[in-house]
This record gives sequence, C-alpha cells and structure tokens, in this order.
Amino acid sequence: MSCSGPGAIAPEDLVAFAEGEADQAIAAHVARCPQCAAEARQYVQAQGRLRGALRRFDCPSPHTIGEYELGLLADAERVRVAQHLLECPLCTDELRTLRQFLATDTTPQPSPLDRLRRVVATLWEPPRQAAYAGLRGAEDAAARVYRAGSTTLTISPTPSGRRGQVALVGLIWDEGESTGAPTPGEAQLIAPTGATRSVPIDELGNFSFDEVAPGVYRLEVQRADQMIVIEDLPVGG
Amino acid sequence: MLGLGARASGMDQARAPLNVLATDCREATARFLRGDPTDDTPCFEVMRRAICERDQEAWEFVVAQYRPIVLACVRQHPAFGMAREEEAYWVNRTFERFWSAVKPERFSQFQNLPALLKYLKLCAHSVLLDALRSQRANPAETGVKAPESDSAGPTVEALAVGRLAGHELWEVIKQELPDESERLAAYLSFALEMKPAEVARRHPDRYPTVADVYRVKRNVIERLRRSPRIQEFLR
Repeated sequence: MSCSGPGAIAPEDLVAFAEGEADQAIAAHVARCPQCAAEARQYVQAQGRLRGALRRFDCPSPHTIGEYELGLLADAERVRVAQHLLECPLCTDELRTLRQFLATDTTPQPSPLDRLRRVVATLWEPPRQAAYAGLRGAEDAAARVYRAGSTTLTISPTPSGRRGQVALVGLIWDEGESTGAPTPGEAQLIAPTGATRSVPIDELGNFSFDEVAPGVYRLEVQRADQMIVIEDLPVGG
Repeated sequence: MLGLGARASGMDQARAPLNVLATDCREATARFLRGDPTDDTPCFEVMRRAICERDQEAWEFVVAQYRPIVLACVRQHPAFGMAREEEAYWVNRTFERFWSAVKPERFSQFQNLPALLKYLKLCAHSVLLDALRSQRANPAETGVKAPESDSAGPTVEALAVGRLAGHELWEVIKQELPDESERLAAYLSFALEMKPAEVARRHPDRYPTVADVYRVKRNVIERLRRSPRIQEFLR
C-alpha cells in the first residue's frame, strides 16, 4: 500500500497530525489516504508507549523538590534539582504549587476550649490574724484557698458517705464582679490516671465532687473566657 | 518529684517526664492558637524524643497533638479534591512519610518547632502529589482508569521501581540516538511530555521552527520503532 497522493504532505506532517497540530490540508489528506492514516496511527501508538514508559523518569519526586525548596538537600543533589527545574515545566509547576501551599496559613481554628485563657492558680496562705470571715471553710484547717489574679477559689474537703473517701466542696468568686457572683461554668477534676469528672458551677460559684478517693488531682475550673487550673490538689491522705 | 501538671523549666526539659512535657506542649499549642505568646520548647523536646530516641509514647503524642494541623493542611491542599481517598488516609500517610524521612541523624537540620511543622506540611504535600502524579501517569488514550490500589497513592517503592525502569529504557534509547538533537527532542517529548512548539521555543538554536521538531521527532520514532531492543523493552 502506498500514499494515495504522493508529495501531498511531507513525512513530518504526519507527526504534526499525531500531535493534533496539523492544518486542514494535512488532516484532509490523512482522512482519505489509508497509508498515511495507518502511519499516523503508528506514530500515536509509538509515542504513547514511549511516554508511558519514560514519563517523568528523570524528575525528582515531589518530596525531593520540597526538600530543595526548604534548603535541606546536599549540594550535589541541590544542583541537580536546580538544573532539572530549568528544563522541566512539570516540576516547575509543582514547585509553584508547593510554594503557594507553604505560604497558605493552614492553622486550624482554635476549639472553644482552646480559646479559653488558662491561668494557673497559686495556693494562698492568708495571714493568721486576717479576718476573712465569710470565706467558706476559713475555719476549716483542711480548706485550701487559691488565687488567680482577682479570682479566689476555695476547696474544702468534707466527709463523704463512703468510707475512705471525701467530698470536695468548692467556691469561686471574682473580686471584679460587681455582685460578687460569678457566671455559671464547669469544674473538672482530673485524677492521676487521667480519669476525669465534671460538675456544673452554679450562678453563686458553688460546685462539689462527691466520693473522691485520696490522691493528688488536677482541677480545672472554667468560667466565662477563663480556665483556672490548680495543678496539684491534694485530697485526703 | 514533678507532680501531675507541673511545668518543666527550660533547663530540665530534657529530664522532664513525658507527661509533664505533654501538658506543657498542649498548653503552649492552645496559647498559640489563641494568638497569645507561647514557648515552643516543650513541644520541640517531645519531637526530639520521638525522632531521636524513637520514643514510641512521644511519637504517639506528636501524632495526636498535630493531627488537627495535618488535617487542615490536607483539606487545603489543591490536590485533595482530586484524591480518591478520604482525609484520614492522607493524614496517616503524612505522618508515615514524616517518620520515615526525619531520621535521628537529620534532626539537627531543624532548629525549632516551626521548621519541623513546615516539614510536616511538606510531607502532606508530597504524599498528595505522589498520588496525583500516579493518576496522571495513566495514558488518556488507552481510556484505562487507574486500578484502585494505584488510586490510593503509590508507595515509595513503586515510584522508585517506575523511575528505575524508565532510567534503564532511557540508557538503551541513548545508544540508539547518537545525535544530540534527537536525544533532546526524545527526552523533552517523551519524558517531559512537551509539545513540539514548546520544544522549539526553548531550544531555537537546535530547532529554529516547529517543523524542525516534527522532522527530528519523526526520525526518532522511526529509529526507535525499528530497534529490536526498544521493542523488547516496550513489550
């Protein structure tokens, strides 16, 4: 089989046709010439197979390109990647994508818990002769008073119905509050094992934990936009 | 003895129990997310233990602590929309990549926590791009969809094997194409999938017009089609 119109097109025109870049005259000839159409198909097939086998064989991995961008490659590798980037539009495109991605702020939004301002309370030792009548548990030697800025937190152990355990009664108030009554919140008692118990804080600032075993606990009291933390709260013992 | 929740000072962080560092790190991260001033050193120390000492507990904390950040990265990556796996898959792959890439001997390359987190972000990028490259490697003209195992993302080993086979074929092709212009046209056309007009634009000294590229490519294809070694390789 030979070309139906010898000289109508140049041999390389079939490559242009295989690339989808041939003009109308070439396309029209290929459409009516079985020999040229078969040859064009062979170019398409050969190119497809070669591309399938060779596609980006020499391109550095996206991770290597990333290490190049972060300046983490050894000198020889860095030079090789830089030279490759001069020639390869595919890798250059990936590098552009990486740069845009690294520049994007991907910081997750803080959770409601994360937004709370955490303050560690410190144990307050009041002067012996100070008149702090009205402070719940003041007359109780086991009561502990903590301060965190303008906030006072008292924790008083009381007998529990269960042997060997105590109930913890707490009161929190802020001197900055006009009525002296804080907003409701939540108190969490975290055991050394990680076990956590939560109780509500009423509008007067009261809260309590029943049947607490002896140990050293972490207490977190959440109110408004603040979380007050007592890191080592001894109970019983 | 440091109690539950006690803070480790800067001087003794290397000796602080992991649970203390973990607490400090959580609080530091919360402050960071609120936009408050914070100290990175507890988190950096936990990272150091996980990477340099291969402390499994420390590593588990790192994964739990930074999972939300990696998840945010994955969701915001432009390739995520084209990926066929769910976000949890890519988060796990990211941490796998980070663990295998950051060996103890490399840790000194990272001076602080932001540098480590930037590298973690790079890992999210690279696992997604690996999968995207693999998906795009399936030739459109065959109409073949990538099998499910490939669509999930190639392993590092699979990628390496593919490149090795390509390197071997290229060595054979170079022997069949002694002419430098033919080699260059073959490389740009087949390895980089460059269109003839782009080849001519980048190398006008070798190919003054696009017709010159067509001519050279025809010679290349004819020569390679006639080569028994090339045909054997492509079979």
